[in-house]
Amino acid sequence: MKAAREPVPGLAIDTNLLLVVLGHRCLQYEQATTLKREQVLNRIRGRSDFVPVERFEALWHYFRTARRRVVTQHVVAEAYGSRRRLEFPKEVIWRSAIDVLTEFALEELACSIRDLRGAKAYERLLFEIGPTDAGLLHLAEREKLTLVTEDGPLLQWAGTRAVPVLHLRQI
Amino acid sequence: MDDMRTSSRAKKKPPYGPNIVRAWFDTVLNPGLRGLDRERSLLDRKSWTYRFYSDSLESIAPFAAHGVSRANLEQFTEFFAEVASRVGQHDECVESLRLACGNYHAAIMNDPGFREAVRQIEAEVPETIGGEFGSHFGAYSRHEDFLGVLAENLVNNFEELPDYYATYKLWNQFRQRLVAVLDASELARRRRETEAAGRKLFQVVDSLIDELRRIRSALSLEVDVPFAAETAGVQG
Repeated sequence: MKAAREPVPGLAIDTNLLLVVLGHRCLQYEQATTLKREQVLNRIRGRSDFVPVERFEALWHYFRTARRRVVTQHVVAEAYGSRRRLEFPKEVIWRSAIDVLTEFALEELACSIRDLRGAKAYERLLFEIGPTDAGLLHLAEREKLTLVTEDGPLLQWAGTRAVPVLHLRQI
Repeated sequence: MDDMRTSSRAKKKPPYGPNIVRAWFDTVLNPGLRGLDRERSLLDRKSWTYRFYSDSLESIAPFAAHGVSRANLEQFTEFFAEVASRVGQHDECVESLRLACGNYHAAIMNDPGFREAVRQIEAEVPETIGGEFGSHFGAYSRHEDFLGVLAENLVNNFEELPDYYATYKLWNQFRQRLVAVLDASELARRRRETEAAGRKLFQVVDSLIDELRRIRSALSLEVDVPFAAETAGVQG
């Protein structure tokens, strides 16, 4: 694989990988060992294939060094709803979330369903992949961001909408 | 597969039972076959799903990447060693196709004829389809990436695009002029190499599908386990 392009211009991140980023931050507070980081982050990621810890470190580096880090409010709401997957005490999760929002200036932008219905191509996407993913893709296209996701349909639609996209294994 | 038909297998109770076979169906055979069916359909259309940005094939992938449990695949191939060899062959062919697509894409990007055609198209865009050239490339903002997107469409043998594609206006208007560039000898050679890699993978996918279906069918009858687990709401 070619190395990801540098500098990272700006990224839009999906709910699942945002949870992984939050989990990574929580593990930094705990000064967790490499082995523990690998195990916990794979559990948070919640997929059947195992990812080596280097990929999570690469995601963290990519996230940290991107010129912009952007999500939609739907993504934040979904991440909040899935916070139990983080396996950490509540106060550690909140500290991590506040860090990611402030220290790394995670931008939380709005993309309403009305915005999507107004964009002809996205009306179809809304039904195909749902409001959260369609909104994130719309935002990435509008703000000229690289999308970071492992979601199959979202990867496919990113190609259709000419949105540069990277899978966790490609970062 | 043949060993399943031997008399020794027929007489001896297999070392696996319905629970293990259920797990093989749900985590190896069914997801694997779904992925391979999709690959076969894409390969048949010469739609390689190449993505220049990540230098990868989006929907054509190593067998285990189709939602297959690696641990259960490992156990499954202990009993069906011929599948392990075919899966290995499949994964090698996927990598060969990826490399061929990457080389083809790079050759198009370096081709003076392609660059000249794009330069002319760029000048015509405002008057023909409207907007600036760069406004037809979704989230991409670098000129080199605009070329990358067009070269990617050529590698993937895109025909006319429906209107939910970000590039549909530009592509549908100028596709023929870009396709004509591929007649250049170096590009034609790269195209043939890519098609050869695609054909080889198609054959491997086809035989792997046959093999897995035969094994699934035999296992289902041998251990009395249906292909799919009972679906809620579907009652006899």
